[in-house]
Amino acid sequence: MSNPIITKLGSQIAVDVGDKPVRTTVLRDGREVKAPVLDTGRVVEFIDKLPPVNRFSIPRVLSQGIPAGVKVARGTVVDITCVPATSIKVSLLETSHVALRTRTVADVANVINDDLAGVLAAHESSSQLTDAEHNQVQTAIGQLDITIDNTQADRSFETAFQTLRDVQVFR
Amino acid sequence: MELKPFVAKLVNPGEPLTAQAWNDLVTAIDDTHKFLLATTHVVRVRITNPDLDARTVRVTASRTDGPPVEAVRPIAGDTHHVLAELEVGAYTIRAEAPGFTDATAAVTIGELAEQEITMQLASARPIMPNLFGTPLAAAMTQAAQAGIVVNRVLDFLGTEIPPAAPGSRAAESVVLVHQPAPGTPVDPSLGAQLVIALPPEIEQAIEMPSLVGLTESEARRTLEQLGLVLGRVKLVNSTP
Repeated sequence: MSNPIITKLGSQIAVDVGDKPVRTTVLRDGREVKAPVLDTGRVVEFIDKLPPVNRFSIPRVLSQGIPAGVKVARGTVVDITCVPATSIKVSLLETSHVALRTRTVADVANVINDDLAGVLAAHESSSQLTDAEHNQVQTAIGQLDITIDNTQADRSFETAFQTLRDVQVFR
Repeated sequence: MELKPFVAKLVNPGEPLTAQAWNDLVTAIDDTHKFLLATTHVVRVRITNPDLDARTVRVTASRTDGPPVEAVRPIAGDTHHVLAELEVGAYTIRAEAPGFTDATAAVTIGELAEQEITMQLASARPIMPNLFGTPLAAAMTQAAQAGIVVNRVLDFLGTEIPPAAPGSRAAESVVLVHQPAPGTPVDPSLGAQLVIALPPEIEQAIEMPSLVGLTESEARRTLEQLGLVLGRVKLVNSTP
């Protein structure tokens, strides 16, 4: 590499460290591979045609090699399995509203806006909701088009509330 | 002792055996016995070093006008080296052993048929001090002052501790065991080994968090913040 060239441009100083392009080190399976050079024009054109990625399509952790709550030593390696939220059924939750079990967590999380997310995060039980907050939850349940029956535990408002709380992590 | 000239005087049959002749005969036998004793001198050498296996010691007797003689090493429970058939004269007895400075003693072979001498060899190697109960830092200093290199330090679980940079916890831990034992010469090629009473560091257990719902990067960050490591990431496109 040639010696760096320092040029003063007004109040700025430009440092040219060499005439060779910066090379990115990419490792695959422990081997260094070359980063490909792309045709910038074609890449821009290609990207413009693509729909934006829905956040629910980003894979989320569905299982982990070491279950939550297990005591482990520092440095322990944890394997994970990720699945897009659009593929994760509500029925995988330990408890959920019956009418939501055939839907995906993405479908349910989609009705949770920022305000409702605040309400869900602030209360552990629907019994703690104010009337206004209760209405917010009720609105979301209405959007999901499910029936509430408080005489049945798996169809109750509380179960629907808990289902919303459980799926909000997939937002 | 000198051997006197012997005159062989034979007696013919019928001639009387006089008292003079008989006495000459007895005197000649006595002289022969004394001569044999005087020419088969034995020197027994006892090595007194308690920490030295006498069988590893080489003992020789040398004189200016003859070749050196090597002693027979102790066998069958005996503790003496035996120098046999030494002729009359002045000898230098030399004892030598690996790791020890040669010891010498002057012996004059004369009338006595057998004599015993004791010899002690001075160790040429540093002697291991008693370091039991001494904090490691002080023990290392004592060993260095004695010319001993401590080349291995272990805690009592067998974990290696670098002798050059043991760390403050180890430096304050006392020596439980050392090799070689106190008072033993230290072979410079082997050095000394110490076992110290370093209490094991209890590593705080980390409770595994739930990662469900996190993206891969969120999971990685969460694990790293806890001191855990993200391993294999399996990506599945859809549920069956």
